[in-house]
Amino acid sequence: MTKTDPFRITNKLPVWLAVPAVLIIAGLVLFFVLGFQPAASIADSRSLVVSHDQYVNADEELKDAFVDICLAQIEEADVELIDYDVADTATGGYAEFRFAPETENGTLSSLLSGILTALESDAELGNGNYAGSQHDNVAQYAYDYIWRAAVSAGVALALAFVYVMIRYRVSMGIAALAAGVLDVAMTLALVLILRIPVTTVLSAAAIFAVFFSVLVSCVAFGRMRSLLKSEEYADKPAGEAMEDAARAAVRPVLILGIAAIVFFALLSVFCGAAIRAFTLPALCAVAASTFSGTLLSPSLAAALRVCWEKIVVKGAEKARLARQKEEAARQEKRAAGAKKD
Amino acid sequence: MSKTKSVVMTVILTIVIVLLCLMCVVPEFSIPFSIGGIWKTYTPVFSVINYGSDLGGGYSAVYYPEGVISAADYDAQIESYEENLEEALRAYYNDDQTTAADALLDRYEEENANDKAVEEILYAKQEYTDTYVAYNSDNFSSLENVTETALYLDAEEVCALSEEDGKYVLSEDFKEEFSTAVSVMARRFDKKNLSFLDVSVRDGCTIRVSVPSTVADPDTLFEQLGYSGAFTLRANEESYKKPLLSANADYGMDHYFKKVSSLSSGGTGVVVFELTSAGKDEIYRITNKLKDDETDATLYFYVGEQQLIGLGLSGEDDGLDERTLYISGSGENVIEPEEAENMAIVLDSCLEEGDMNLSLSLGETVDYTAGFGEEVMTAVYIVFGAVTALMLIAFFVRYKGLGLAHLYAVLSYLICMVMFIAFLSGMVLTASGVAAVVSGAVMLTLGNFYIFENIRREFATGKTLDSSIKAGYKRSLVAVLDVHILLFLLSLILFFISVGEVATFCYVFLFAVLTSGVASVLLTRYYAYIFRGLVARSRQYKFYGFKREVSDDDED
Repeated sequence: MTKTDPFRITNKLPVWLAVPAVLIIAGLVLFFVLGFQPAASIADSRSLVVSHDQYVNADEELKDAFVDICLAQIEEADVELIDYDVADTATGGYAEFRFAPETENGTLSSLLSGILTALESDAELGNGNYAGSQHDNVAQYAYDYIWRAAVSAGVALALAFVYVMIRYRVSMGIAALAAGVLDVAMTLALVLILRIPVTTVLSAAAIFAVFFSVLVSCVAFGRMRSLLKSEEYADKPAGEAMEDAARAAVRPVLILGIAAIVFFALLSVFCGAAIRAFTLPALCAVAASTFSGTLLSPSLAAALRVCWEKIVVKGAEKARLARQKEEAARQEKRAAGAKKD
Repeated sequence: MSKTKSVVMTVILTIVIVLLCLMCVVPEFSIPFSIGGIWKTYTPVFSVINYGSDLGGGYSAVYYPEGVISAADYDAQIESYEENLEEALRAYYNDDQTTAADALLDRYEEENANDKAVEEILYAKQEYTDTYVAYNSDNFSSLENVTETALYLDAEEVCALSEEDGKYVLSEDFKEEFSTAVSVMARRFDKKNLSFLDVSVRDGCTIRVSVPSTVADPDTLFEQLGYSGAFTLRANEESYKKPLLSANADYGMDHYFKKVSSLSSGGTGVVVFELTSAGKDEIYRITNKLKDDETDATLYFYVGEQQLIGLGLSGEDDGLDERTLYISGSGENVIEPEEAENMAIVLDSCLEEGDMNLSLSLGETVDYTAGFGEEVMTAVYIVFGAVTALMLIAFFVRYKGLGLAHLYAVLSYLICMVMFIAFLSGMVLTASGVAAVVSGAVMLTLGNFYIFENIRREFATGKTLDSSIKAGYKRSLVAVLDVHILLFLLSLILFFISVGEVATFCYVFLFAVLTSGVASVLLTRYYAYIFRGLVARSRQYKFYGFKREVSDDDED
């Protein structure tokens, strides 16, 4: 392997830094232009409430039939349903169906009359009275949650930095901290770019991004540290040793990343909007952390290590020159003294 | 370990794990014998789990501002007028339920009759129907194609007539007051630090709040956080016209009170008022005067017309000269910690955001179920089961006997997590909680993979199986512990710092990391040690799927 090897990891730090930079800038632009894509369950939505005065006394079968008739009508009308909930009330019960905020009132209005007609004409349901209403819901954001989540992420990163710095090396601590910050930023940028619908769960996903980034850093730097401590690496120049260690750390990080991606991708595909609210941002976090764990943070740690070694060598050289100068001055003094005598 | 001992241990272990798994999943059934004369029903552990609002449901309620009523309330009022009218008409005509109510009214109108009771009811009904207008596209220009409404609005208090189309619009005054009320309500609920919260403006003029099912007393929560009006101090209920202390043109109540918070002491709630120096002087003056007027005086703290808490002054010789006031109830009036927290939130919001002048009336508290929740959890179990099965197959193929140890470790992890989530106080399973459990399982799997690979590498260097296992664990221990300790510490600290979803995620993840670490470092090793004894010593390395590169006899 040479320094010009196209597969070298550690000499491409500017390239690895350019990737998050581009993503974050794009994310920032989207944030200021469009903002996050809010999910209907927690954010703005249009909804239909269909109430049934016999619901509370109905058996489970009838309750299910009531909801199924409504769902069938929604499916028939080809309106995308985000989620729904059902409830018993003092005057019966209701089912509330939520749709995207851009769903037109006219569509919902005709859907509601379709549902009410279908319910009234269904013989199985008995003699219930049905009523419906349509609503416009505008979310109020929980700013305290968001603020506290941001503080938590900052504390987590600071702690991870201290831990990694003490347990591994200072350069690795700094790289872990930088990777953590970039991973959270990249996760949020990807959520913005891919227009993933977000709920307040996004704050938990951002914390997950910090945790996963720390996990990846521990795996990568743990592997690198054990290799750098080995006899085989002792004689290698700092740059070479870091490059080889970084390459060796790619495999465990990739395995970790792929395992997490498989799990979260399957959960996202099969488990509905509630789970997707967390798993889609989490997938972004895993992708960002895997990228930084394999390429960015080892390169950053290597650059810092090489930089540090240069500073140490420079310092040693400076000290040597100073010593030489001092020695020469002493000799000169001695020679001058001898001459005087 | 001898073979007999291994077999016995394996059987016991298997029975325990199978029993625990059954405890989790077996559906509810009646136990066919009585315990203490009571027929008991067995409830599976899964059904004890508290699901978060996203997966299970929660409580919700709608706040109606003054001048806005629900269609149900409107209909009920109209029905009441009609019933009273029917009664009055029957009394007027001496009718004994033989004629229909409509026919009686038609006759009354045709005859131009004039009965005082009937006229009063007709007038009241007419006034009521004139006051309230249906909030739909027929009456409001801001609504388009909204035919079915759930609201009626006071045409004078809340609405204004638009000059463009002669339809109504929400008045600017109402919009301004409503906007303040929304932001105050959002902040109040925000301060409750619930695992889930959804505050939304419904139809532009009501507030809908959803909270998780873990809230013990949702009715009290919704009621107390909805108190509106000015924060005042009074001597008794009749003194509302002249409170002892209230905001005035010069000073708001924040001039006297710095902060209101709550604490719990021995199961009793305490509301803590921190006073400014002006507040300290003012409270001294007020309490001193109250003591002079009456021996058993009480200083009451009001929000609007709602009396929140009282400070008894019977034990005091003089006025109160304190910088901080700790108020709790006693005897029958003891305040629950939850209640004290609600009061403190409301009072503190009056200091921070000013008084909420728009009066809100609370609709019915509804216990709702997330429609897709059950389907989602079923899908989660299927996906989790399928991926775990695939992972275990991969482990069995590569590590054979060690794969068995990993299987038992994964099952132990999952059982522990289900137990923690079901029985630990405050544990709620949300979408992020599911992800925390999955992350713990991934950490356990990768930890075991790393350890097994190191054992395999050590074995390949020619070491005996015993020393390979020792060396493999020694080599892996630092890395595995590092990851687990760091993530455990992070989740522990963040659990205390954060709120809501993040705190819920950290709480579950805390136990996921702990269980995964114990399962990886201790349990898997112990299980592997037990299972090794099942085969002859000379074949143990083959049982673990290892290959001796030099000779098979080395092991002996």
